[in-house]
Amino acid sequence: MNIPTEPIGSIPRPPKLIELVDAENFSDPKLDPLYDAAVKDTIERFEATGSPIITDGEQRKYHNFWTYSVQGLPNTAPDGFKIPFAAGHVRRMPRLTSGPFHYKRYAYSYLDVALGYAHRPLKQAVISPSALSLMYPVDEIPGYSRDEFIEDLLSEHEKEIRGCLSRGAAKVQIDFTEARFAMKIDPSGELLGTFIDLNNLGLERFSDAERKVIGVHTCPGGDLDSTHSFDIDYADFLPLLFELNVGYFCVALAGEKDRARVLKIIQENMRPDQQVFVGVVAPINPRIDTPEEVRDRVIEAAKYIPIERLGTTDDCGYAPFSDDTSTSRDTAFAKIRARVEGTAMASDLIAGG
Amino acid sequence: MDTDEEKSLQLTALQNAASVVAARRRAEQERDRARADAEAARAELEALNQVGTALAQELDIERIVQTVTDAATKLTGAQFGAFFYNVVDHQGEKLTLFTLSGAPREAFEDFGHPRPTPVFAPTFYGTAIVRSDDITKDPRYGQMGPYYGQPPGHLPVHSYLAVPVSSRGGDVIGGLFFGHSDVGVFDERAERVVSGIAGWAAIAMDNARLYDAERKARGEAEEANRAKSEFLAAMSHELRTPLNAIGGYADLLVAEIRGPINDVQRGDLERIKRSQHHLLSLINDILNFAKLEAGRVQFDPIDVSMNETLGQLEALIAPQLQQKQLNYEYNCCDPTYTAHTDPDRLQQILLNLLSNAIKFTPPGGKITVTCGPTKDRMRVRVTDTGIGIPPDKLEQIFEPFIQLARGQTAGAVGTGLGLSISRDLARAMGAELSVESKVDEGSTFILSLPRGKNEPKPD
Repeated sequence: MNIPTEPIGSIPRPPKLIELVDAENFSDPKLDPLYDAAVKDTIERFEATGSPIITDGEQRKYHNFWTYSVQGLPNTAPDGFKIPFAAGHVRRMPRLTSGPFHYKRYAYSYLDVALGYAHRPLKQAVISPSALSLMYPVDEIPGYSRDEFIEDLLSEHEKEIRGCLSRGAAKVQIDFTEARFAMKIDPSGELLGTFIDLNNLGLERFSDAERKVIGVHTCPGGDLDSTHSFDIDYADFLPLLFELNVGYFCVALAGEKDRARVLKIIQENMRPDQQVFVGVVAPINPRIDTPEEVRDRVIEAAKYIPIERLGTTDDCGYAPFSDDTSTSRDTAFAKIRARVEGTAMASDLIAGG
Repeated sequence: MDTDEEKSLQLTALQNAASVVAARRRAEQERDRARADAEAARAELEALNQVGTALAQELDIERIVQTVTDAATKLTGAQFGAFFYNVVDHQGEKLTLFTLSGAPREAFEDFGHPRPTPVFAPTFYGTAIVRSDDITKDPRYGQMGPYYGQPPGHLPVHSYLAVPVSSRGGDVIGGLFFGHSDVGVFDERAERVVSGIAGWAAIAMDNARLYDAERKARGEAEEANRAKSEFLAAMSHELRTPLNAIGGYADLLVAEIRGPINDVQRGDLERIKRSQHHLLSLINDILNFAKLEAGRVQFDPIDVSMNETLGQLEALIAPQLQQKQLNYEYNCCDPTYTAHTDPDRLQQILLNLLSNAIKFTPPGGKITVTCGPTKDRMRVRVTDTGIGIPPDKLEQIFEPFIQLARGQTAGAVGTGLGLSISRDLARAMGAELSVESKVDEGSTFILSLPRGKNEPKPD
């Protein structure tokens, strides 16, 4: 039995793409050949790592995993909430100025391109409804109630996931990096509870069989090799996280200070019908992990998580923001190769291949 | 992120939470509604299945229309329902009857049958379903006198649904009508349900009518058959009396009690006697057959010794054998063999088989009788070297009044009842009569009898 392994999603864009794309021109059809070349190269290199499931490296997500679907919406203003990172830089969300709310683009449109190049099953990441829910301002928008917004948001989220599944995505991952961030703002857990309620409302629109291939990813929020919420302990929110009605979780672990403690919390809180893919390489750390290091992390995780419900992944995407140059493509693929090889070594040892 | 921003973000999220709660409530309501719809659909299906099953088993028109009316009234939520349907009575008169559900018969009896007013016509002419949330507001309503609407004393009807019931042949059998004093009671679902039930009702009523017609025809056929049997029995009896007189007086003349007769006269009298005898045997056959058909033959089965029964036969047919110069062979069978049967009827069957064998075997031929047991049967085989029977006639010869074509019977004549009577007798006693034959080689008739009850069992 092989222990499954899969990526989170993003791969640093080629330097030329980063250089040429900005907020004004990112959707200009003239850039399509450049995007396509980046996707093609990413998929080739991904497949070369031996990863059984791949992504398009999110080469076309602009400007990042959080706002790609609403970037450039005419009914938004750029002065939304700030997402702070430890290194001191700030990312802003767009603010909704009027209704109705619709996505500008859906992640399944990226699949249309990637499927043309891929020879292995593709995974597609989408943003959580809870992350986008913060676009609605504190003061009610005249003529467009918050209730209407939530209803529209859930419908768009459902449409995006269904579009991915119908195009043949092997897995769909909901990026829920604001979980840890929510605990930082509201240590009582109430805020995180509302995020989980909202996301579960979206998930309830899918059948049990569909939810088996829908997962959730959570991490401290890697960007420019810093984090926005690293100082929050998993212990505070993992129990709540497992209330999400999904088939599997991708949980950052390699970069955690006390992995055994995190694993114990996972062990105590995961439900019998859920799989956990633990992060065995940390993109935030520029050093390339060895397969042996990865193997040892898998063996450590297997002490806490039943082998048939254990998988491995990266702690985070390698470049969740499109202009991230802190990690090179070479490093990203080397770390992925280490994950794939180390996981296979652990499979041989623990599960007899 | 400064503290103010964190606070306002938290505020936004918490305000969103209220909307999430509202959305969840809506989702749950939607789910409850879907569940209730599914449950209603399931209950509807179950009720329809029950009606369908009941109708499939029912052949009585009155019970069919009552079942249909009750079920449809209940399923539509109507206050009352009525089924007006057309029947033809025993005198061939067309009548329109009705049955009710949810209202006493007196509530409608004073109004007579509904006339084909603009509201009712589509139903009685089978042209369309009429469904109205408030029939009193329908442009077709109140167009005809004397009441221009519902007559005084009529149960108040606002919601109205009427569905024609048409037979497979397209004839309008009747109409289902439903009413409610509230407006807006009958929805599309109710219309769908009643349409379905109306279709089933039409089939059930068609079936009931066919069944009635078939039962009537069968009764008439049985009556005719009984009359025929009675006629045959009576006629045979009446014919035998003068025939016996003819035979008796011929005997008197032959015995010269009335005076001496010459040889020519004697020859004529013998011919009269032979013809009288032949005619009597034909009449006896007819009488036997009529009795069998009328079920008037008595059977008294006992354990009969086969060897004894078969051994007596030769003496009874010796004159005919001699006359046709036929060889006869019977090898005595095991004296312990018995059959449980009526001895007189058994002899009657065997003599009939032998008489046929003699009749259809040319001079110099041979007739063989054998007997042997199987596990629970006793089999008698009567074999001849006669003209045989073509394969396609093997079963026909057991039908009454059937004989092979004249050319095939070598001039033998009879009523064609002998084998039919023999098989009927055999079957009436739990025995079976069958035949094997090859044309120009001969035939074997096999009589298979129940074995004797007290026969000693083999070790």
